[in-house]
Amino acid sequence: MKENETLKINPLPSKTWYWLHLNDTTVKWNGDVQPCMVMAEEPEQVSEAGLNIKEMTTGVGAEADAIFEDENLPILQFTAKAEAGDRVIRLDISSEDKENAAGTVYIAAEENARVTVIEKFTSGKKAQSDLAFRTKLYAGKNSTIRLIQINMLDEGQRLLNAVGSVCDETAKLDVLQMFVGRGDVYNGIQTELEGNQSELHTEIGYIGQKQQTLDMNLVINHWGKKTNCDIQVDGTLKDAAKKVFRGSIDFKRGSSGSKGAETENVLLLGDDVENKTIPLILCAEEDVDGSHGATIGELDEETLFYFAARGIDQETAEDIMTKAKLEVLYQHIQDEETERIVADQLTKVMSNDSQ
Amino acid sequence: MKEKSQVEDIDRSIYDFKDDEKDAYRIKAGLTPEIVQKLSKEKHDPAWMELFRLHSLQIYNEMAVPDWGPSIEGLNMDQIVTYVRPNTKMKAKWSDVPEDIKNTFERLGIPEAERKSLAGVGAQYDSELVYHNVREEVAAQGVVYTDMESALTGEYADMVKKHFMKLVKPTDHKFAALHGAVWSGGSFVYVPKGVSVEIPLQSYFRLNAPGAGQFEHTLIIVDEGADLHFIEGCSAPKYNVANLHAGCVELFVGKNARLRYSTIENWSKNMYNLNTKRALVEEGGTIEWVSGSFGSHVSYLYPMSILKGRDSKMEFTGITFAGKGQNLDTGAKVVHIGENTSSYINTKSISKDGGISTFRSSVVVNKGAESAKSAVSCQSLMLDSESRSDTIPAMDIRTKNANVGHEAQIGSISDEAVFYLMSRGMSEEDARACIVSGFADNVSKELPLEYALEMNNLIRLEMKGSIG
Repeated sequence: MKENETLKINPLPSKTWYWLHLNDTTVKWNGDVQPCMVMAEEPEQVSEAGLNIKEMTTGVGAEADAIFEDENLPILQFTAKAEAGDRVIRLDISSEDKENAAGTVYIAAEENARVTVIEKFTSGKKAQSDLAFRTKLYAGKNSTIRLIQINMLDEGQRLLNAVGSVCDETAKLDVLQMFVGRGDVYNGIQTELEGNQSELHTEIGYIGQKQQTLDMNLVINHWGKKTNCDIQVDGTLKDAAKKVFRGSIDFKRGSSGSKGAETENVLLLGDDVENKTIPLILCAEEDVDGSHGATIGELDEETLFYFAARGIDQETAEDIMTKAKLEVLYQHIQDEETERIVADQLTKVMSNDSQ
Repeated sequence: MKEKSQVEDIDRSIYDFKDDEKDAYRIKAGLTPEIVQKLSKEKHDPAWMELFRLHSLQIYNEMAVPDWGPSIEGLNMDQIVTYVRPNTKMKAKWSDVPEDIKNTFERLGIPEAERKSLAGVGAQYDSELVYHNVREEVAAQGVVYTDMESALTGEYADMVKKHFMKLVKPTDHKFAALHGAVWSGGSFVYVPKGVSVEIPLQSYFRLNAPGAGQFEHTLIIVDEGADLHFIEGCSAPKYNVANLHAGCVELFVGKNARLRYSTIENWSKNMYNLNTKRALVEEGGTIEWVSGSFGSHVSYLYPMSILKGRDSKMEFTGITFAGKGQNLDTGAKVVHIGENTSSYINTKSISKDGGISTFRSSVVVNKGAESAKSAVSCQSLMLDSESRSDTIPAMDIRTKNANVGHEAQIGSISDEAVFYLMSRGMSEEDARACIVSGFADNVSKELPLEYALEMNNLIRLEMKGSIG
């Protein structure tokens, strides 16, 4: 990759009208990357079960995936085994003092294994920096992976978050993403529900402020029978924040008995916000159940009246609701230390906003 | 294990009869400046129109074929005849229309419908209108309903020039440019201020010539406080070569006016239906679209409403039924510009026997569209796993106090519902047909009775033979 290359990232699996500018997102990204800093326990090699992990596609698309092909970049590898019980892998990821950093982690859960991966993206020392990180997950038969990603990058810093995953028979993948930083986020998740009765549950919470950009692309491919996915995206846009959400549920032929649902709620609080949403359902199988719903707008009159009746003005009511949406989500993290970090970060971000 | 039902292909005998080709003139196949100039000369265009056509052709040649929808590889423009003039001039009485063409419209039930329930009828055969008539009492109200060619040179020439392809510009997309270059036929309607046309006007488009294109232009202006229901019907017999329909509909809905535009599209399954429809709605105006898409091999059809005026409204009700060999990409677009505007899109689609149905939509709320409201609901029914059904709805919201909702569902006929109906004495075939008819109920309720019956008949025919 060249320096400052123009990339088309987060591509929709099925295009629509170009004038909407939703088929993909164009960004300039410096391809001359250096290894990012990852604080983690001692990694080990991914076991045989996860060897095809390298071939997985992520949601950010092929052009962005090329960033990670630089052979100087670190690839951390972990394997969760059933006999080790519930395992927690914590990764603190930062660009540190580099302008442009990247890295990859491979995680494989063997049959019946249970693992929670907590990734925290924190600010480096540079006021302007780019961090690209790729997570590839292989969930073996009847295993469970929980991926928790917390973005806390500051204004002027950008995160490119690439996630690719494959779920084997009856495997379960839970993804919880909290975008509570002030930097721009480009987030792409692709999941292949290959095994029968495999599942994906995704919850995303965000707050977008000032000139912040949040650009998301989720692609869920249902291959196995009786596979199940649900996607819940909840967030608030203030000031002149911009958000794009692409969510695609693709029922492939043969995925009979499968279900997929996506829901999005966006609270619009800024005069110059831009909110784009495109939830796709692609369906080549008769015996499936797919649905999506979206609610976009400001706080309804009933809610505002409720607060006003208690002497709370509109601005405070909006802050309370913004925070409440995210609090509900971070309570699902089920890791005390991480919950506290997110709560602190949220207070910081919200208080900065009101200053 | 659930058993699959067999679904028969549609009986299209109502539409599939073919007339002998007795056209008076047909232009050479293909698309060159010479062909466009010749067409313009044949049609006695004013000078500005000839230039407009040539400019559109240039745009057509410069624009790329869309790569985001169904494939149109089977469409070779070098083989499409863009102008076929039937062997008659336009008549105002059915008795004056040549026997073979009159028979065609008789079989389609148009003259009978005119007698019973329409305020006026236009009938286009290939590239030209062959019949146009409006009831005296409607004409007496000042309502103008005529063919586009007469309007272009007659009393309303300036009005036509002012509005023609101003809403759908040739630069919009490749097939809008094509339309600008080779358009022919279509209707012009003007409803004066405050006039309410109590019963609908209808234009019916029939394409008989194999390998031909139909490019009719419909321009409707409903002035302040006026009210109109316009119905558009289209059909063609099936040939082994590709036919093309690239019509254009431009609707101008004035202040506090209302226009309902209903379409039952039943083109044959060799037709590429690349039609463009757009409405501009002024303050307090309402546009209502009712759309049934049953025919065509490939369809790109997304009526667009621009809610420019404060308090303007749009409602779209549509159904798409994609059967064997069909790839129907349909939906709607709306742009909210004015304050307190509202839109509601409600669609149903059914795919069976290998058919592909795609619902595609866009809701755009501009920054100044304070208090805009929009709701989109699309439901898709898959009748077998040979078929495909996709939903691609987009929303672009730039006003904080907008209120936008969206819901979509894809699924199959519920076994429980079929079982329930069978336990009450229905055969499985009837039970499935009943469920599908119920699924399409929202659209049939919006159609005039005769069209609702026709639609239900089509669904029943589609479902015939569905025995587990």
